[in-house]
Amino acid sequence: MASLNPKNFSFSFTDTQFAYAIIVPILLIEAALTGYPILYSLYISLGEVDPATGAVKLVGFTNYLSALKDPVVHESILRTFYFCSIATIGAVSLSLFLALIMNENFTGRRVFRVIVLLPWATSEFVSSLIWRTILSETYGVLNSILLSLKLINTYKVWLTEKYAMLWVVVVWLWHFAPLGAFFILSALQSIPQELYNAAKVDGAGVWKRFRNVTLPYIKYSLLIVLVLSTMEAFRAFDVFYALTGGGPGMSTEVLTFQIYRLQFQQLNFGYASAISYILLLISFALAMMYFVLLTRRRR
Amino acid sequence: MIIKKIAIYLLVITVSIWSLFPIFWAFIMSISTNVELTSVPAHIIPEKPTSHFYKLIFGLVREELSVISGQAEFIKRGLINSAFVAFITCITTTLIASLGGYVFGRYNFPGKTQSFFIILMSRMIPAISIIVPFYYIFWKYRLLGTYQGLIIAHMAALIPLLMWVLMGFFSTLPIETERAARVDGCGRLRAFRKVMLPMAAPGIAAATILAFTTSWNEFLFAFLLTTGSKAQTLPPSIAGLFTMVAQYALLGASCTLSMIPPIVLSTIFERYILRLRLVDPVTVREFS
Repeated sequence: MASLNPKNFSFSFTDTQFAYAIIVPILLIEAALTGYPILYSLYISLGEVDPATGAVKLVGFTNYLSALKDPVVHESILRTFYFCSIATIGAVSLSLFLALIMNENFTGRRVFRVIVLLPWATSEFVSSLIWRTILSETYGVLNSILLSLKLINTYKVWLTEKYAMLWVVVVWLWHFAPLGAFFILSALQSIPQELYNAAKVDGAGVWKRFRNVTLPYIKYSLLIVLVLSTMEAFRAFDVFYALTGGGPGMSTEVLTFQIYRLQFQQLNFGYASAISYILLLISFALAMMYFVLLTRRRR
Repeated sequence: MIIKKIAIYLLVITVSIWSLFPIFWAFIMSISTNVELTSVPAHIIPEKPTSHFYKLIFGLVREELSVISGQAEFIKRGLINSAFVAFITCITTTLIASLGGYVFGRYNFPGKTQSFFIILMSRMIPAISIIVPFYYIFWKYRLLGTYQGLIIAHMAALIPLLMWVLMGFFSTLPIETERAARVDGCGRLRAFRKVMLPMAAPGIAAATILAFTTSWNEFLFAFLLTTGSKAQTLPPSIAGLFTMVAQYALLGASCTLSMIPPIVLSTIFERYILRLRLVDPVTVREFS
């Protein structure tokens, strides 16, 4: 009966119990809202779905096998890697470039930082739509400006089969590079000024100072930006939907857009889910890399 | 020195144009007429600026073509719905995520790395790959086209992100104050509320803004879960508008309105948002 006595009754958690009391419900919410859909998607990917009734007929790995044999899927995988590699290279170099400018000392530096941040704050979908109107071949303002400056004679089509993907990269970079830039900037600001001064005294030039002083300090941030941008480029969807819609032809149909098209235009749920799983596995591999990088201590 | 200064300012101007031009252009479209926008070459500075399309969206004037008035009506509804969804989402998400972030940033418990891994993984999942089961589950529980449905979807995506960010923030706060409060007899939750929350206020404010803008900007879930319903938010409404040809000015006005809240919020809170370093790798490293 001792425990009913208010004096002796102590309702106190240990640290571990307290942590579990908060973390476990959150994990359960996440399990319900993302774990369950993922498992359900696995189930659909193993079957054929009747779009009218939603009934699933299990067919084993047929969807996966045909996806692996389908040249359309192959092409979109190649396109995805093509997009990811240019986007990643672009993201790392543009982020570094922006960060180096922001790290300089000049009047108006705070305003400039806000300006650099803005593209990241706007919606990827909305800004891609605006870019689409800017690049439009009929009334686009890019054409207007170039025509007014007499740099072109007639309005040009910018989103051609050959160059559309590069334009997607440009628009994606417009949106994503600020994030990377601020990662690198925070690393740049942790470099002690004395190191630069010492290097200057030793007569090191700009390039040497960058390589021997700056680079070792920001190497880790560059790596993070590299992996993060690969991951984000891999998941990119809004920019494709708003800017090119997978076209012209199939020239910008990456995996994410292909999944969308198969699901919502062709109602081929089983096949789309199988491709989703291929996408999911690749993103998990990338996420694992990221996790290892994050949890590994900096030497 | 002078040459270096000039070079820097040239770069600053170039980058500023690059960053601001699309935003500027959306604004210009919104105050132009369709005639000026579709002339060749288009007028970059409108000859007769007009606020007609903003008035149209807020229902102050009407157009003869009922289709256009109808689209403007959708945009207005979308603005209200987006604000509502983003507001509820950011409040609930921040509440849950700040508790979770506090625990992750402060406590050690068996299975911490594993739970962190789960949280991280659920953030890595490409949204497009779970959209079909999401749609199906929402259809089954009658959540399609409802506010609560979209709010749940946004919460699911945002809780991991915010926990990640806040965990880093909490782990940087001095532990002594909290320890003192605990010694004075505060319970953990009380210590959290009375001591940690005030100290963490800037970080939590920034996280709230991050949640608000992400939910406000979100397209894919909003598009698939609310299109055509009374809960349709702004991005799907703009998508609907875009399919109509030659309504550039109305499109510009809608895009401008959609960009105002994120731009204003991140301008005001720039310092705090940057202090979070968004998905802070540094503190995550300390954590392991």
